Amino acid sequence: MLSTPQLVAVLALATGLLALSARRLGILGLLIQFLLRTFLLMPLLLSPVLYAQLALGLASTLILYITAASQARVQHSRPRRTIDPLVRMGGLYGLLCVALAGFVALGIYSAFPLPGLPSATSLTCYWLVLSGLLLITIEGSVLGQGLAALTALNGFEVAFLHLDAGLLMVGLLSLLELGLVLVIVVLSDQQLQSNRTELG
Amino acid sequence: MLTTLLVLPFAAALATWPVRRVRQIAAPLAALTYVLIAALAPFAARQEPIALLGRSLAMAPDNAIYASTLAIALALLMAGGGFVQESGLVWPSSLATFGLLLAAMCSSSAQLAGAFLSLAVLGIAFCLVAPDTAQLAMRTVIVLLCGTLLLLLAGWAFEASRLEDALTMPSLGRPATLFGLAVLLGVFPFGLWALPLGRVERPTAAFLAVCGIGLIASLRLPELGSVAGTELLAASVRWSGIATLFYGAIGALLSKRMSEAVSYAAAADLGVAVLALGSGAPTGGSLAARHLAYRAVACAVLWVAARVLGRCFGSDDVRSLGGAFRRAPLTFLAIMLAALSLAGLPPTAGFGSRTVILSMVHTKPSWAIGWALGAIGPAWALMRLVIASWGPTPPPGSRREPTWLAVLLLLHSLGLLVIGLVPNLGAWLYGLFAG
Repeated sequence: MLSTPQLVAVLALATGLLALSARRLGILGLLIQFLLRTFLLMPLLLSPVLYAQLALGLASTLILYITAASQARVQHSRPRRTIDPLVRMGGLYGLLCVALAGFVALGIYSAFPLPGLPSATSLTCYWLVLSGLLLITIEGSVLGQGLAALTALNGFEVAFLHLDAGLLMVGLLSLLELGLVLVIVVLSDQQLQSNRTELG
Repeated sequence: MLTTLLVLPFAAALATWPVRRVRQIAAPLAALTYVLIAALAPFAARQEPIALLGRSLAMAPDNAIYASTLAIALALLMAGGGFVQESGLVWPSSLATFGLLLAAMCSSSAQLAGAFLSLAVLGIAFCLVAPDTAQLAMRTVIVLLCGTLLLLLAGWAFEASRLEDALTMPSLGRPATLFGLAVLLGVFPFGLWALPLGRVERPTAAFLAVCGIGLIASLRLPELGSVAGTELLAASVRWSGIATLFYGAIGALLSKRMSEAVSYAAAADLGVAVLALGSGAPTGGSLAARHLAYRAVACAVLWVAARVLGRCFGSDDVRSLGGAFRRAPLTFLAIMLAALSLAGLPPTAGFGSRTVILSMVHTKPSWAIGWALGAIGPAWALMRLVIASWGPTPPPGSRREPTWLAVLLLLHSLGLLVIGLVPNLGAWLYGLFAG
């Protein structure tokens, strides 16, 4: 198992990449989250279920990467004045927010550990949920908000599957994750189209 | 029969997918499926539970009536969607979403219901797809997912408190129940997500999110009350109900557009249902659910009517509807009846249930002024539309209402009137169908 400093480093990397850029680099952060989740759930789930969940996570990452790549192409062609002011501030603002969420998560995790859960799971859950919720509020694009929502969902899943690792719950939560990815893709595409219309 | 009921919406969603762009086929197909579901639901209530990987699904008799009511309202929305140009995704998405809502309604535990409701939220996002609604859809999905996942957690805490360590569970279950239900029901201030939905041109998505999820979440309150702590829950629910009632009533008074006024009026009516949930009376839960079912039908009529006015007169703004009654008399008649029910005025269905609920809430007589404001605000907001439409000349460039849709709207509104006059009609019909 990971020690607390190692876990903090992995969590900081996973959410920091997402905060730095809600596009292709952010997808890498999401991939790290999926791998960390698989690692933490390894003792609880049967191998086939675990591998199926990991495969689903990888597929989701791939789908989101394609969407992020097409978003990036349009973003490059947009005049700078039409970009949201928060986006123009750069990833530094997002990084500071994630650092804040991380400090708060560390504080809450020591003061109020989740009952009946391992300490690593508690810390991961608090960190991912808090970072995800904070990033949702500062992200301007649908894709960024969606990636932040997936981060929060990952945090919830890590904790909840420790509480109930039944096949039905694993299946329904995996379906929820895949569905959320599809929603993000469809809505990002919708936003992209309306941006193109605005640009004429 | 229960299996058929649960599978039917998904099968119909698959059937409508290839024809989703052909509105003339997809809309009637989806509407007929909802009518079939409404007819099948009472029969499903008599069936044995279905086992699903260690859990069970069963339709309670009371819930069957609510399922039928929601299905009838959705049939109207589908029929109306053919005229008001919903997106092509709305037919299969709404059917799949309703299938998930039915599964949540039939779930034996709040935990399973929370999981099904989470999936239903994603379906609502597909129903919301339209130009310039991407941000709104994403925000709605995120807020509603927070609520459904909290409900999932609360359901787990409820089950765990009965099986395992009862002392540690409230620390998770109590906040999860309180915040989850507050978000899903849409009580003030957690229900601010609901108001913009009514304004966009996607009445089906607004209906599923505001009326469908709220009704099903309310059915879980009696079960989760023990996790949240009965006294704390009753107090918070009662005060948030009062705040929602006043907020909705004042917001409706200030609205100029019909769709906006309906959103606020629906919020005010929700406040009354929440008062029933917080009354602590044994019948509070069922009264609230019945009131929410009547509210769902009224909202469906008014949202479709708002879209009809928008299409026929260019806008549903009160200032642009002078003389519109001449072009859309049946639609305005339907609006009048549905508005009376949503505002809780006689002799409609909403009046009957609202009167019983307010008589259950033990407050000082001076509160009667507040209750009156809760009815007058929405009533005036919607009635002034009807009054504004009585002008001598119709708006220039306007077109006549589609007669078939106006008749459907009027039939639904008359249903609310008949239930108001004969309150036990629903139970009698259910008994007749279910034997």
